[in-house]
Amino acid sequence: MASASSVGNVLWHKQSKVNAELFALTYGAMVGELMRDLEKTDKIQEELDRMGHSIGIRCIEEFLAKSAAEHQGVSVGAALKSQMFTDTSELLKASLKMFLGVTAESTIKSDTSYTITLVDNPLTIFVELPEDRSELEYSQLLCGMVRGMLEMLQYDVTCKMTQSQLKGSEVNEMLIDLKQVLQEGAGEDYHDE
Amino acid sequence: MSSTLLFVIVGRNEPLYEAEFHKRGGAGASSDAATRQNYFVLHSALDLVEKAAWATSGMYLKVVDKVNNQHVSTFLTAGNVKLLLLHNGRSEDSIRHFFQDVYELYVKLSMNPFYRYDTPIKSTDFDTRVRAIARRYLLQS
Repeated sequence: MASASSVGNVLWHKQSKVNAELFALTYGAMVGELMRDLEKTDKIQEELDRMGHSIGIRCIEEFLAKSAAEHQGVSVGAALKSQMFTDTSELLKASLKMFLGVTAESTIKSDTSYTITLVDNPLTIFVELPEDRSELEYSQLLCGMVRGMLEMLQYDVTCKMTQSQLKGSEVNEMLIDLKQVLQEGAGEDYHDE
Repeated sequence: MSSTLLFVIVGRNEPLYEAEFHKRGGAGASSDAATRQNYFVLHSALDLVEKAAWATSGMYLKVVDKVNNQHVSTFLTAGNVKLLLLHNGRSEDSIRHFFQDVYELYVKLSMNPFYRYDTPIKSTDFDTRVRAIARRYLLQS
């Protein structure tokens, strides 16, 4: 049974890569633009979360397709079939490795919540938060991405950064809390009367 | 007063960063008049910086002006930002190392998406590090 980290590593090596500085600068330019357009910190965070969400719902498809191809979907498929919400932490760690190249740790807090810890964050390599924006969660896009990915797996979650290196912590930490398990598939139109 | 070094980063229109470095145990903070004079010397050297820039293709312009006992050394960045140091005859080598390290810091700062080119540098982190570099290269007795 392939472990999450080995699946993640293999997929990471097969992905085509982009220059890390270019990536960080592009994200920074986008955050800068949002600051000029929206000005208010909580609106900016909402927008970043929304962007992350639409990235996440697409990423999960790619991740599942590629990992199924790699390992006949063994450990990943288990996460899908399993009833344990906390197994999705393995899936998230593998996909963070695949897309961002970061190695993440997870800590299970309870049946319905866990934290993901990242030691380095490729989005923030040159960033220092200005004093008047010390409330801004710069990596909110990652939280939105996690939310989007888990939503496609029928889990409605909240994801927020509980520790951030930009704000002085040692590591970056995201807390993922399950709100509810979504009903399978079809929308309201298809429900039986 | 000659134990005080004045370091200024000048952008297109205005100074972006200023720092004074004192030798530890020296004659305390310099008086107001001396500080003003120092600034005056530095700013009047700006024209000479332009002139010296044409003479060499490197970024480090060495000493561009000498007033009484004070020398003004300059480092001109690729983005036309001038790093000016007012000193009293330190060794070329230590000044060049100082400028190179500060230049690296400046480049990292300009990669910060929240810092706009040619705006005053307010980062306390930058300030702390510049002072550490100054201590390392310029204030060894």
